[in-house]
Amino acid sequence: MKKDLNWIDLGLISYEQAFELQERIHQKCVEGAAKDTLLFQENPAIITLGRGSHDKNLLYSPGELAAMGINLSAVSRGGDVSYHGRGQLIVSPILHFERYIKGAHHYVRCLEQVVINVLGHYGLSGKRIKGLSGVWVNDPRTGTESKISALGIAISHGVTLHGMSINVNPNLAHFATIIPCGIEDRDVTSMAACGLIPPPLAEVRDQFITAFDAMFGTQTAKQTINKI
Amino acid sequence: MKYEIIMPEFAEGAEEINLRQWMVAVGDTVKKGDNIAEAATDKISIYVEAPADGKITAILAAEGDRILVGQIIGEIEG
Repeated sequence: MKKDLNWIDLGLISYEQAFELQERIHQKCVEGAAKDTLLFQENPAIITLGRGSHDKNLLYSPGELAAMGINLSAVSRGGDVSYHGRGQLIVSPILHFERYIKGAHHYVRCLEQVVINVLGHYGLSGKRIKGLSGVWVNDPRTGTESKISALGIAISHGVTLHGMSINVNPNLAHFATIIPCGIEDRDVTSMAACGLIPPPLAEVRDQFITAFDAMFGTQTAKQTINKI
Repeated sequence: MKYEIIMPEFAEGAEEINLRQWMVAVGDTVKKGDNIAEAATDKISIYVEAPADGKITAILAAEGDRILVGQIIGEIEG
């Protein structure tokens, strides 16, 4: 029998507000008062500093970033520096992940595979690169393997937080303000930069849910944040 | 009674786990299930929970140490 999950799409929302909601859902999941949930969102431009951040990977001062309309925030996920902005779909699975899979490392690899399968739906060949997390594609503009999906998760009381971003059509110039995830010799790309007419984020979200359910043997139904 | 604080098994499969920070110190009182330490792989932050109510009596791994799944990193007297 398939396990029931919820999905909630917060739409365009500030990172801080969305994180507050994410923590609330996480707490309810831990208490058993809410189902495991896939939480989707899109943020106005913000750079987040994970627990493993290094100052050298932030190339501009907070003042310079503010002048460019980019906020800055320290967050509780693993990983280094990340950028989020319009045109990027963020998914945060809030899950008792061991109900579906054994081992956090395996969970991360399965999440990456979900994104690879979503990209495949759009005719893009996503792949992993040994030693690097996230999902990569060949960027036709440069001919190099570039990151299209970043990943960073936290696990508290056995329930996951944070997750993945998928670059559908973000402002790639904003990524030049950081060394994303601390990886100096790799570029960032998007579905649009790879030559696709960028699909609506809601369509990519639906593809993600389909691929997630197929990967984890779940059945995910729509929920609204007001019901949590 | 003494309880061991152990790096949980769900981090199995990670290539390297570092003890990022202790959220408690020796002498602190904790409740079972409290997050008391944070460990991390390259992409995963993992919070270690107190295994019992009691007082932290020993910290056996330092912040920044590389640790293994199943390793005893501290002790609680409950």
